[in-house]
Amino acid sequence: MEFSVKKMTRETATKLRRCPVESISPYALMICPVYVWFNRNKKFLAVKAPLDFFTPEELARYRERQNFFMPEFVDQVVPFQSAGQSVKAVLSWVPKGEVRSGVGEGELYPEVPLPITPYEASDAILRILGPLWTPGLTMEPFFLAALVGEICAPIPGELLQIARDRSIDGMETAILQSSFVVLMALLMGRVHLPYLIALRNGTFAQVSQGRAKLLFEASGDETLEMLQLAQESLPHPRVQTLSGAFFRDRPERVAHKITDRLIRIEKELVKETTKVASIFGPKGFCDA
Amino acid sequence: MRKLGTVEPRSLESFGVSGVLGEDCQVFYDSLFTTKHIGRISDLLSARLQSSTMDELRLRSLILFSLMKSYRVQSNGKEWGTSTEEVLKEPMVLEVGIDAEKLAIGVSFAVQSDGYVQPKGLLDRLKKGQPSNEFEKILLQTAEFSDRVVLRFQPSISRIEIISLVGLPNITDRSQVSLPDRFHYIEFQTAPDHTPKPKSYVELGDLDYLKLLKEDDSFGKHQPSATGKLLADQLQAGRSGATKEEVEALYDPSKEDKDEAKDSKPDKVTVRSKDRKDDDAKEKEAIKFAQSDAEKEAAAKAREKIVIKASEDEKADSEDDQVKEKNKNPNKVFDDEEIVIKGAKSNTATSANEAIKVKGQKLGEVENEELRFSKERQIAQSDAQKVKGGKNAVAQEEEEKHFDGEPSLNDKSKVKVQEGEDAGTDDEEDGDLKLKRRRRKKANASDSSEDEDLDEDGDDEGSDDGSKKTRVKSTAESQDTDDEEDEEDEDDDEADEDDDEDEEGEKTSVLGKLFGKKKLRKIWPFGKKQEEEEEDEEEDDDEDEEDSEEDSEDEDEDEDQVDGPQSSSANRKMAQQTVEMEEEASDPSKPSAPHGDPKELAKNLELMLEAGELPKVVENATKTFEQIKAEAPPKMRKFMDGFLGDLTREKAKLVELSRQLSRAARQREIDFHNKERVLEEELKRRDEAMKSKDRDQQRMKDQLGQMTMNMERVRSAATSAAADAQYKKKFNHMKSVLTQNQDEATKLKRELEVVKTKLNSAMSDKTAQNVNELEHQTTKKNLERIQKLLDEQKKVALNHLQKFQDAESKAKVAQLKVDEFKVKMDQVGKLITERKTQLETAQKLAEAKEVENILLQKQVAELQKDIVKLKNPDQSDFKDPEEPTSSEGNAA
Repeated sequence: MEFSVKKMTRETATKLRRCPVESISPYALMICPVYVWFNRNKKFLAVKAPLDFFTPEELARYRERQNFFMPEFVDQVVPFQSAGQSVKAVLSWVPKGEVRSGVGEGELYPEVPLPITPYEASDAILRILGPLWTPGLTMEPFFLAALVGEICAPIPGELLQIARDRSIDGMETAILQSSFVVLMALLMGRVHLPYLIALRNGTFAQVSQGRAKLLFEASGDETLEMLQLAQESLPHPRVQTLSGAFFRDRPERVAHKITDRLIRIEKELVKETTKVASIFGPKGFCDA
Repeated sequence: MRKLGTVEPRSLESFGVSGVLGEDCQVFYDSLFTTKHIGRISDLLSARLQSSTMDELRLRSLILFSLMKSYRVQSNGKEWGTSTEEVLKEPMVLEVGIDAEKLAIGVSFAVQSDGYVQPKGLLDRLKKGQPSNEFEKILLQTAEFSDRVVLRFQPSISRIEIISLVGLPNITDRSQVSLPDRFHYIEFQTAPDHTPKPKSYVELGDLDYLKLLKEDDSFGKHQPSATGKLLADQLQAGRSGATKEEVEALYDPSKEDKDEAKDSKPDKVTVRSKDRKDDDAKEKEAIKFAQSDAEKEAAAKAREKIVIKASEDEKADSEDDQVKEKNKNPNKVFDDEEIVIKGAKSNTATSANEAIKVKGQKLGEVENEELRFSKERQIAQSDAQKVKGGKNAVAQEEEEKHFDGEPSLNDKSKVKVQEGEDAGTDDEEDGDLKLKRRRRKKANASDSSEDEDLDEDGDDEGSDDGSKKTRVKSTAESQDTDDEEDEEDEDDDEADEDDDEDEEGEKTSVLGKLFGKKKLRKIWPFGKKQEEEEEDEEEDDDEDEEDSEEDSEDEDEDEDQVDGPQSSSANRKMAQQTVEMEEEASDPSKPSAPHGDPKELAKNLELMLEAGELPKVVENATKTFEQIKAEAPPKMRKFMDGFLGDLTREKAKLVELSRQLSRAARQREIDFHNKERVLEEELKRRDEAMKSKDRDQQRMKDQLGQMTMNMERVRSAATSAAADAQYKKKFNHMKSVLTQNQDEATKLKRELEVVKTKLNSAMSDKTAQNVNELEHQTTKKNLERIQKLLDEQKKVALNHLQKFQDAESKAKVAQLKVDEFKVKMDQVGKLITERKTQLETAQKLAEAKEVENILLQKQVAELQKDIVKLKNPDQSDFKDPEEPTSSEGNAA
């Protein structure tokens, strides 16, 4: 993904965030430009763009440097990452504790831990995702990648390598479209983590490699509709904003369902004080 | 499709229930990957659709049948399996739509291409009632509950949808249709149409499921939040670092609800006995259990490896409590416990409520116990410090947390409770503290008693300065702490001297009767100091003399049974070992490897505790005590029990301490290894740096050497230049060039001289020309002036010319205008003349007309005269006044 600042002077160090090299996993998508301090040049030089990734060999090479540096834009991504972690926690929630009969010493009342139903999980997830939208029901697609990156496991390294070798633009488009598909699935109440992971990887493979058939089995009509909506709304990685209004005028059933869910988000969950997160402008990494 | 109701289906050529319902329909949907939650989903939908007066049996049955059959087909397309363990890879999408007349329940799912479901000929088989497999059988069963069944199949994506339509009770057209005619099958050869939009799509999570599924108000007044809200708030609070109290507060939106909830909690079963103190203790246990359950998870994460097993102490304490109570009321018998159900409508309700209120007060006692517990922990940790091989940073942190760190919830609650403490709890506390002090004192006394034993047996090789201790030490730090504790113990001993004397006096006297005083001193590990023991000896001797006759048989038996010599020898061995170890430590000449290694020390200690003489001593003592117990008096029994308890406790403590020591030793090793690794890495880095510097130096040296070589070569080459032929040639060439330059220089000099002479001559001519030059200059100046004037004149002339030309042009223009004006004037003049002539003619005409008019008037007058004459012939002589005057006539 394009970004404007490729070099930074030493004086900008106070605005950067330090991240140990060892904390970076291979093939994890970067949520911002990544800089390294070069002593000879006395400057911070960018080594990775947003939505790019490090291979194990690259990480080994940078291990001597000990730290990567990231701009303060990272703070804008944190709410999306924490929301993704919360969603993952809901999807992975397992009832704890044993069944208590309520009879005996120490027992206060009978307890039976029940797993949460899909509709309860869907409600919880909507409450988590709702505040991420701005009052006008917009969101920048880049942050979707950070959100879904926390929910789903990282995309397999082989797929990423193939996609990047083929075309960087194509890879970024595939990342954004696959993330958007996962968001739509969550809004549709499809709260099953393995399904979401397979959906994301399958969409990524299809879009990055231009395959007609999907990797996962027996995709349904609503799944195809979601793919189609993602392709039409995010044809390239330079799309600036995703808007809820996009779904309003669409004829697909998925669009109707998502429209009604967004109505609830707008009425109950969107906060007027929500700061608009953006990759553009002085706090972003990209010139508008 | 046979119509159901008055409204036609909007679109059958699309997926979704919205197409078979009216425009104002509402569709509820959910996506399922398993069958686990079918019941709760049908509960929710039934609750939501209750107002539609829909037959709930049909609704629930259709939901169940639809989902189960789709699950079975999707989980295994080729076999009709009954297992529900598998999780589907693609969801089953359940849609339940309702409009004014009917309800539609639809499930769409994926099928395998050559799987169990055979769309070919499906409709025929269904209509004929000849199902070919279980799936089709269930379809027929589904149709029995439905008024219509719509089957949609898209082969390209292997997608099937089955919609069951059920008419609502208010439907106008409820004509019964036979089972075969209820089916309607649609196969999409091309892409289906888009689903028509309903009034709204509602995902089940958007429903107020808490309210819909809530029981009536009789089941408690507490109003919790929806599960989804709880989860989301808890996760977000956890991410924001909220405290546990804040997180828990999320579950109780208002304090009033909390209070109500407390009163109206579900029934609680407690175990009560007649003795109130036991009840309170058990309640405290229950509360402690509940609290500790909640806090254990939080504490476990923060706790480090040091774990102090206080359960044994608790048990011992509880045993002590029981013993105390028994001692206080020896004749009391504990009756069977009664089970009282709190909250039940009975006479005990009021008492139970009072008990609940009293519980709040009794919490103080619970917290006091916890205080005591923590103090015991402190004591145990202080003991552990003596055993540690070195100050572990982790252990230090743990200590700080326990003693100086932030207060935990317990501490806060303790603070609150301590304010409302009952006075009665102080005595117990003091008593417990006294017990602890006694134990410490006994432990110290055992050291001195062992020392005395050694003295008596002559095996003591060390000094009697009181520096020897039975506990294992490895560092000077532990020695310091030991010294401090000894001072504390001495203080405690001074404070409790009287009590201890009384109790120990009893014990020693009784035991003395049993075992004999000398032997008792040998085996008694918790004896007093020398001075006190001397006094006791005197007392014991007196007592022995008095009671010797009574207890002589018992003594004999006990002497046989109790392994007096063995126990004393065991103690002697232990003391010997410790003494040897300490001597080795103090003696630098001796090898200190085993003594200095805490790991080995720990191992030795563990071996001693596990396989040494101490366990045997304890076992033997318990056996003998059990044997004696039956015959011994109650005081003796008490003493024996207490003694045994103390023994076991001390043993447990020692075991724990040894384990702690080994752990500390391991930790130390690990720390050392880590430090080693770090240092090694640093060393490596420095070595590499040094090597690189050496390499650079070498390179520099090589470069220097090369430079010097080059310099030398250059110098040597320079010195041999004269002899070299090339240099000779160059030299000659340079010579020739020099001579040429010199010649040129001479020539140039000559020319210079010529020029100089010419210049001189020129200079002389210049003086004659000076005067003419002046005139020339003046004339020049004049000329210039004149020229300037001329120029100015020219300019002026030019200006004038230009003006003149402008004027001429203007004049021409004016002339033109004048000419034009003249022409116009001429034209005007002509017009004027014409007008004049016209005027003249008009005047003439007018005159003529006037003349005619006059003539006519005259004629008229004459005619009038004639008339008058004719009328009046007599008046002809008079003149007519109307005759015109002469002027008028002349004018005419």
